[in-house]
Amino acid sequence: MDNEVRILIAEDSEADARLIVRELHNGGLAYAAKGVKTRKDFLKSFEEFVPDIILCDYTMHAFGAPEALQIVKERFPEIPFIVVSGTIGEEIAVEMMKCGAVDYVMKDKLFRLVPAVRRALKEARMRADRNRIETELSRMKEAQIRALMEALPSKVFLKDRNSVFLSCNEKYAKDLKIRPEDIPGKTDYDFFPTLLAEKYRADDKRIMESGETENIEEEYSAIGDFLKDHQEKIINTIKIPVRDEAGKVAGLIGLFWDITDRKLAEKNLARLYQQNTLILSSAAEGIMGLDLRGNHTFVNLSAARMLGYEAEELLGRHSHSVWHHSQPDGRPLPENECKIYASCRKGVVQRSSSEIFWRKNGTCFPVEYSSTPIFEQGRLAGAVVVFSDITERREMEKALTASERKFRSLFESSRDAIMILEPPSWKFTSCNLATVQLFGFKGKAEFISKGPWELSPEFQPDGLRSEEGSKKMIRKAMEEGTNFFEWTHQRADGKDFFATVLLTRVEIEEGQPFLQATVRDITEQKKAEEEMRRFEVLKTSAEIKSKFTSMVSHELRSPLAIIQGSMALINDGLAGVINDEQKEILGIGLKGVERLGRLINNVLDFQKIAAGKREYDFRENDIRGTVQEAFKSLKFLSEPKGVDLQVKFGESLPSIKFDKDGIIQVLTNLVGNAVKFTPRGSVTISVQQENSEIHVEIRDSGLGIKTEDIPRLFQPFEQLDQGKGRVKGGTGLGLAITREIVLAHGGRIWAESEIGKGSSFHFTLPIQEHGSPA
Amino acid sequence: MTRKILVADDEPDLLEVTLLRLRKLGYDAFGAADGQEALDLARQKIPDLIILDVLLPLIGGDEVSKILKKDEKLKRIPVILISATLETLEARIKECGAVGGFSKPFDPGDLVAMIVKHIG
Repeated sequence: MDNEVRILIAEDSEADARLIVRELHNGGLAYAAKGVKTRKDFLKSFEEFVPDIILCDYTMHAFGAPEALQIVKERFPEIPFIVVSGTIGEEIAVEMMKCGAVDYVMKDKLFRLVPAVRRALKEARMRADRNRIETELSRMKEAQIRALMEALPSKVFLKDRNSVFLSCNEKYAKDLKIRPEDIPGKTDYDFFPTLLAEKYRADDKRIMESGETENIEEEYSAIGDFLKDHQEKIINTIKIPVRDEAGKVAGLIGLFWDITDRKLAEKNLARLYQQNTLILSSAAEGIMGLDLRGNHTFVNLSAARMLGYEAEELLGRHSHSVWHHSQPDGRPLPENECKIYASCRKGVVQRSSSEIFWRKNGTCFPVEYSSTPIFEQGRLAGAVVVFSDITERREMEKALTASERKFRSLFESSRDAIMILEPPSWKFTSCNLATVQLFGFKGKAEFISKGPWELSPEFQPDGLRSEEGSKKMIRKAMEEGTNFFEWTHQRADGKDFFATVLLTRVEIEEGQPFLQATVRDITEQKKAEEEMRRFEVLKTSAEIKSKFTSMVSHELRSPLAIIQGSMALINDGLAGVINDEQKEILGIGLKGVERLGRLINNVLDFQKIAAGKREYDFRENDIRGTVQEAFKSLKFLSEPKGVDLQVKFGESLPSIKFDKDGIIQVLTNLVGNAVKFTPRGSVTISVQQENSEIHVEIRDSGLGIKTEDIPRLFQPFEQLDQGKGRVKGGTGLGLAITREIVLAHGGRIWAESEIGKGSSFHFTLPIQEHGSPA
Repeated sequence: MTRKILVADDEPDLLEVTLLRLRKLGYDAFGAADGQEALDLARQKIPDLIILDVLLPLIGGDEVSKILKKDEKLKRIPVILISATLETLEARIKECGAVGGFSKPFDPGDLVAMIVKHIG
């Protein structure tokens, strides 16, 4: 319940005082009363007795209620003051209340005193509570604001209506190099250069008049000394107008912070961005940034150009549906199969050179691209697609593969053996099928990595070592670009063959030039050439023969006829009588003429012989006599040369059928040759019967013939090398005719010889089993 | 009456030797150096026998023979062909109506034998 109420009663009339106390007592109020009569007591009473309420008589001697009220209002405004009076009227009472009295009670109506006191006390108590709460509250608010101010990362200050600082936080104070408690009462002039202070105050004034919060970014280059490091600073300030209870602007709160670093970073970022943009724009590759959904966030000039858009057209649009919607054949490319999509969503790097992008105009082009995911602070943010149009490359590749294919097929299907030789070892690194076949290998593997000299005999026909020779040819080809030559190669089975080789230097962009070798087997060609040569010789010889025939006819046969005619004229005694000796000599001459005539005829008859059209006159003849006849004629040939010509006959030679002219021709040829190639020495003709044959041998002690030449001896037009200083004679037909004649008789003909030891020629004539006369 | 023999040969020496032999044997032998001259002499002198070289200048011996064979006055005169060529004479002899022929070189005796056979 209520505590004892301490009441100060200022009343100079004892009677009235007792009345008041009685009234208080009757009113049931628990109280402690103190009475004072003078001003001095009144003042003194407050030192020991602080009243809860003051009851004051309006008119006391020397001390009245107005004076008391004034003292109370000044010193203890919270103590309620009630005027008690018996004389004052309403007007004075109202005047007193205006001055701070809480109530008044007339002395004739003292019954109102206790309720008045009670009410006044109650009001005072309420007022005291309110004041206390308000004080508490305001103290709390200030603490919170301070806490808040200190907690803020920014610098904070509070100014009143006149831009006078009321408070600030530590950070701001530190900036100003003062303590926070020193700020109240200071102005911007105390801290900043006049210009700046005026600017701040102008800002304050504008904000407080408009009542609008402002966010100001300021550069503090002008601050100079204020800044510790003298650097250009950029500060962001927020000024918020503060209103009082009545809603009137009473001041402002300022918050600001240094944004120099951020600004610099922004600037750098902007510059970087600009640079990047420049780089990206000038890049030949198309570069596009995509966000997580695949929408364009950046498109460089090349990308836009290649796709046929303006870069701005593409920004924000969905990449896949713009230029990656379909496959080359027109089938749609679902987004979940799209590699770029995968890099955007799954964060994997993707590359492709087998896809196409679509242009704005509906055409497409082959691309090579890489799509690289972008991570921002560890989180997937999209992808960057870098691509280039590979139409040209594709075409080049196509052309290349086409030409490569063409080349391959040419290479493989060529009937010529083609191979590749590469430095520095100059061994084969590649070859075609024809090569394998030509050299008789089982497969390419066997062939590859062999050197040309390993596919050749050890020596070439000119005596040069194949290894040395082939390296020489390679060198020449490398120096001159090409080298065409004949070469003897060797097959896998060891057989040699003639070939032409064409070496061609092949220049390539990268690496050393190499050689392409084309080897052609010319064995057949050689044969054909040989035959052609022989045919040419035959043709030429046929022409010569024809001319020769006509020449012999006119120029040889006619004079021979003259000789024969003249000699016969004498021999026949038509030019006078001749003796026996003269007749015999003329007879020998005439025989020679006859034989020469026959020889001429026989030589001319070669065409017939060669054509098998020669007519033989086979009849029974005496071989011995025939040989003797030939021997006699040939004696004239051998004697002048000093060659000893002899003839030996076997016993009882049978009579056989033969063409006499033919056999004489055979003997003349063989003996003639023997004498011709026997500078000195002997030539012996021996005739034997051997079994069913007559064997005739003409042996000489002459020069001899190379073994390898022997098979060629009987070939027509073959003239053996007769050595230096020898005049070539004969027609080259002699032995051929001889052979033909012997063969026509069913005989055999052969030769045996050794260089330096002479030669022997043999022929046989068959002895007929019947028909020879008894 | 002396038999007249015309010999035509472009080889003067051979012609000379032949004429000498024939004259030695008692014939009236005269010569011509080419085919035209042979024809002229044949018409002019009407010989008993004519010996013609096949390869005569102007007109060949066998051609001269063919012409003679078409001439009524001369067609019965026996003609002997002489040839320096390699070819077989038989066919040519038949073709031109000659009585025979020889290839050079030939035995003069064989020629005389043939002359005697035809004109004695």
